[in-house]
Amino acid sequence: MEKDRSINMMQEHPVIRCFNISKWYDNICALNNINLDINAGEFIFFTGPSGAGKSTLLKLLYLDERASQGEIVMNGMNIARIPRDRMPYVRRTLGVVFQDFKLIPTRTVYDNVALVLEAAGVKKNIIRQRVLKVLRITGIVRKINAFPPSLSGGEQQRVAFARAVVGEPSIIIADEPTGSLDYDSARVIFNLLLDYNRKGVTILVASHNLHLINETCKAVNGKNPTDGIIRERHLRIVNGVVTESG
Amino acid sequence: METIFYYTIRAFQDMISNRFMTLMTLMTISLCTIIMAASLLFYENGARLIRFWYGGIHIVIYVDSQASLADIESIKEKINKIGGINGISYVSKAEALEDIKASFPSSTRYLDDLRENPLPHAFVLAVSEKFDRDMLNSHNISTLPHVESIEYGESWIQGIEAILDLFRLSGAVIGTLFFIAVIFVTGNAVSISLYVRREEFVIMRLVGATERFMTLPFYIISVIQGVLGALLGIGILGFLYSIMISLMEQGETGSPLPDFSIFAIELEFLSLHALALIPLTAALLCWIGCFFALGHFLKKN
Repeated sequence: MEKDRSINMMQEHPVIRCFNISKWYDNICALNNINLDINAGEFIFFTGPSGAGKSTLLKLLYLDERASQGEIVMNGMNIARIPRDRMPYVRRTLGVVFQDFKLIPTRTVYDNVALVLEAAGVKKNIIRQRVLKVLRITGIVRKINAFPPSLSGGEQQRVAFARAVVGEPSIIIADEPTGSLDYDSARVIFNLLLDYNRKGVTILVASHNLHLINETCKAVNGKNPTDGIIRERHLRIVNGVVTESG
Repeated sequence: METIFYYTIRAFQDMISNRFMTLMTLMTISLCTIIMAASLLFYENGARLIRFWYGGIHIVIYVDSQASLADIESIKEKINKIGGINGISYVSKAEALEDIKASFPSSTRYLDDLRENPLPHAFVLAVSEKFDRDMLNSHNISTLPHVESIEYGESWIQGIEAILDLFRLSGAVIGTLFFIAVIFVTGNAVSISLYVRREEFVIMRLVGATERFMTLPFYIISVIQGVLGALLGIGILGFLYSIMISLMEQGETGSPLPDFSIFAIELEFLSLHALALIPLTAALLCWIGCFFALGHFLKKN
């Protein structure tokens, strides 16, 4: 009952709304007329075969690509038509985790994570506090002065996760975050995502890892909504079309 | 202030982490600076020599003996309006005669016998290198009432003006080449650095960095490289110059260098003005090179 009420409240407050979104690369249609509402606090999985359009959809959301057609409203702003110079300010409201980590190899773990706050013009002492906090949360603080190439894949992804959450985003987008990790490392990342979801952060994950998705779904559904988790949704994308699954 | 400090620190960190590229850029800028500064050194000393030569050039404007004092004053006023003149002295016909008597004491008797002083009044003008014959023409000095004739020392002036023109032309050519070379070198260095760090740019962009945040360190690096490269170039040139001077000072004891003392001026190193201007110009040129490289890169990415 409590859970249903939470879902209803959430459905009244979508943080992302996609209207007739399509994306073509030359003559190839990657996404076809997608309509989608994502509500605050949801934990969304995008699954589907390779080339189905999962990453493309996420790229449209974190503004790495522009939609060929349609509108995307995020936190009340149409980001599909946003001017280039406003993009950084929208990106700062998001945390993004990539399959290939996208860490700067010539910067230390601390500097990689601090980059987000430095780019936002946060004061140095505050940056230090926040970076240390997220590195502790992600369990990578002892590697603070290490350079990414010296870290394992799992450690690098934890650094990438720390970078994604250090700006305290309301939405985390993870594109195949466990694609290049072993099971244990992947589990750590999913647990971190779950933790942040419990704090009310909306999570969007594109993944192939059905085993971990099922585990996460169980974890989500097994908890009382008052713990913070509102709802998990599993969206399957095939040939650029989104369908709701299980 | 904290932001500028942050960007500068980042710029230095970037320079250190790309030290090979930084060193190559510095060396190339230094080389360009040495070539340009050596030409400037040549030009400055040449200009001093020309100024020295000009100091010996006089133009004489002869005024007929019917000219009244008022006429002479009027001519003097007109001459005063001409640019490029360092000094005017008026020599009356009586003074001119006295000068001749003083110069040729043995002829004084004959000169005393003259019933009338045949010499004209004259204005003697000391000119600077800014003087141009056209200035006299444009003020119509030769057509003024009572002006009999003008003696230019024409062959000297023309010769010196030709040298000066050659200096100016070579200065302009070398200066332009320096400008192009520095812009090209910096632009290339920044372009290579950008392509090497392309992924870094992509990451910064994805985490919400503005273009200003991403590009400002490149501008700072370019300016630092421009200043450091120019200072290094000036330092090397100064070192070579001091070796050359010490070799010249040993001239009497068999120096391989020619004896420059025949020019009657002491060679001098670059003026303070030039020493300040070279690093500033290099910094500006590097900034321009960086601006073009970044513009091109951001447009394509």
